[in-house]
Amino acid sequence: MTVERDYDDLARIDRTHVSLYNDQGVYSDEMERIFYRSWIYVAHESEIPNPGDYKTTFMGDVPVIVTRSENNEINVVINRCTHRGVAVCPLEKGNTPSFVCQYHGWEFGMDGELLAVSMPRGYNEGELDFKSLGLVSAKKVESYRGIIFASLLSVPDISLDEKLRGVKEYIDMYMDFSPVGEIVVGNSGVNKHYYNANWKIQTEGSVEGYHAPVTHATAFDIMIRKMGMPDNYQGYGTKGMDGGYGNNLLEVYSLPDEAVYKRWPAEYIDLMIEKHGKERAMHVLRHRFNLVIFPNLALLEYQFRVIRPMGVDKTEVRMYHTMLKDAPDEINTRRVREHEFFYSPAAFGGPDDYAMFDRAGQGMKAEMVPWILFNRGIKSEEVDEHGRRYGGHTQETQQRAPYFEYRRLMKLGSQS
Amino acid sequence: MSANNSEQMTRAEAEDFLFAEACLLDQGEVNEWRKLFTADALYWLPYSRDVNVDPTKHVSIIYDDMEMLDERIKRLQSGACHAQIPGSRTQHSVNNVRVKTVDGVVIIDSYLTLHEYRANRQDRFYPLQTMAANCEHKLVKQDGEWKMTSKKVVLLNCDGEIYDLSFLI
Ligand code: FES
Ligand SMILES: [Fe+2]
Repeated sequence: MTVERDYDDLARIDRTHVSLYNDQGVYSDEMERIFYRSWIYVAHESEIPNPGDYKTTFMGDVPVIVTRSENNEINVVINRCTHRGVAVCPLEKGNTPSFVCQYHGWEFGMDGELLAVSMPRGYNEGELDFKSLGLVSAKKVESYRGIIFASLLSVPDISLDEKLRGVKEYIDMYMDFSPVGEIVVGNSGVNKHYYNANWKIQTEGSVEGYHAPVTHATAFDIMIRKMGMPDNYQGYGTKGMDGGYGNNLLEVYSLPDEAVYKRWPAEYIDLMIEKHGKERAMHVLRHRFNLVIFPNLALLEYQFRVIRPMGVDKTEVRMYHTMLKDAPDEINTRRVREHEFFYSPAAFGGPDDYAMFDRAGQGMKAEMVPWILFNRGIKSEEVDEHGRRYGGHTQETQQRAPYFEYRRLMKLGSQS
Repeated sequence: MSANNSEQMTRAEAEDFLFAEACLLDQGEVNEWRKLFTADALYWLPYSRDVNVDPTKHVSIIYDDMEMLDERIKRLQSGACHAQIPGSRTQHSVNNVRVKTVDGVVIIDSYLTLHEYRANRQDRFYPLQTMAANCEHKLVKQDGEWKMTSKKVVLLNCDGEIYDLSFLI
């Protein structure tokens, strides 16, 4: 009998216990209760635009294939042959009519169905049950604005609609930076990083207003001088938000109209107004934000950031660059240049973040100093009519937010 | 650039240039290294092995004009580039050098083997990193000196998982 951990005590409202970042047992609980039983980001539809397209990814430690079948249905299946455990798909992405396991030749359809086996006569009557031997499918797959989420082992206790309710307006805004409301994910480059510490440090760190003027002083200086970042951006409605169910947001700024015209070329603004209407276009263009969709996705200005735990103390982070459909070339090129400026492994921002995350991995080895603090601004939070909590952007509302859902799922999981 | 087919470079001269460049980088003579570029030069590390990749439509690891390279160098020297605390030691080994001249521009193709190490890290045991790349240097002569109009470094694993490249390559 393993002892059940007290997650209310380990993940408190204002602090988390260091064992959440170090303990193999906590990690196993997280896999079982969060990564296999709640909404996990797997792909964006633009990554698999045509029938037969697939990409492989991971839900927690589990390798999965996201496929688009002939009839344009999206499927998520576990990349594990039901015969003897071999991964049936050896590539990151591609197009195929079916998956044929190269060990003994079992063939599976895009929805996982077992279609054929090699040398079937070697099986006697009753030895091979096609129906039960398909690739294991995720229990639930749904998407919102092309963003595909799946739940692997059980149907989540909340609908995707409910899960995203508090942050949908920001997802919509992200897409509507395109004049036609559509983006293409990953075609224009994917940064592939890793660091030697727990995955939650990147979840917390994707909406970090407090570190920016310290860690990124030199990068912000260049962005202000050369990239149209307003020098007094902190005066423009910056805030942190807890959007519910672990989702949270760092609003970097929300510009007045004059500043929008400084930030973006007039032709782009005109096109946006033509397609979206003036009010909607200006509303979208005013904003810059980092949005975490708990646990493994963050939407930042020019990227889908995907967080992949690889054990308790190693994390892969992929940044899928995003392009705006039907936006002027100039705008998309600017998204390319500004993204690589900050986030590539040789860039002016990202490497400094990963240096900090590595150092967090080092410091947190000191288990006798138990607490990671998130209490900044806890006494001055405000709540809106939807129950969303707000704090200053350099306070820690965004870092506290994931742990409301964390506690809920970790305790829920212990009951099943 | 006016077509001037008179400018030629032998392989030995090309090697001398690349060895000298490597030496400046490895000895931390960054300001001297910077002077090897022309004012309109490009310092480029693509994310893709595709020779036709369009840098306006695809993210690069580095895509610096000289203004941005100056910012990069200034930042590296400021002590506020935290990924470079402690800083990297590098050793650039250059080989498989080939030279050609196209429209008055000398193009040197070479292989680069790069070793990188960081001493004095609190966590100790920083593993010696080894990187491999194909380089393309484009050179013109200005006032009797060879200058780079472009330096392109294509890592063998440019589209793979990369830990950190916060040093100059
Ligand atoms: S393991 Fe896949 S066919 Fe045998
Ligand atoms: Fe950062």
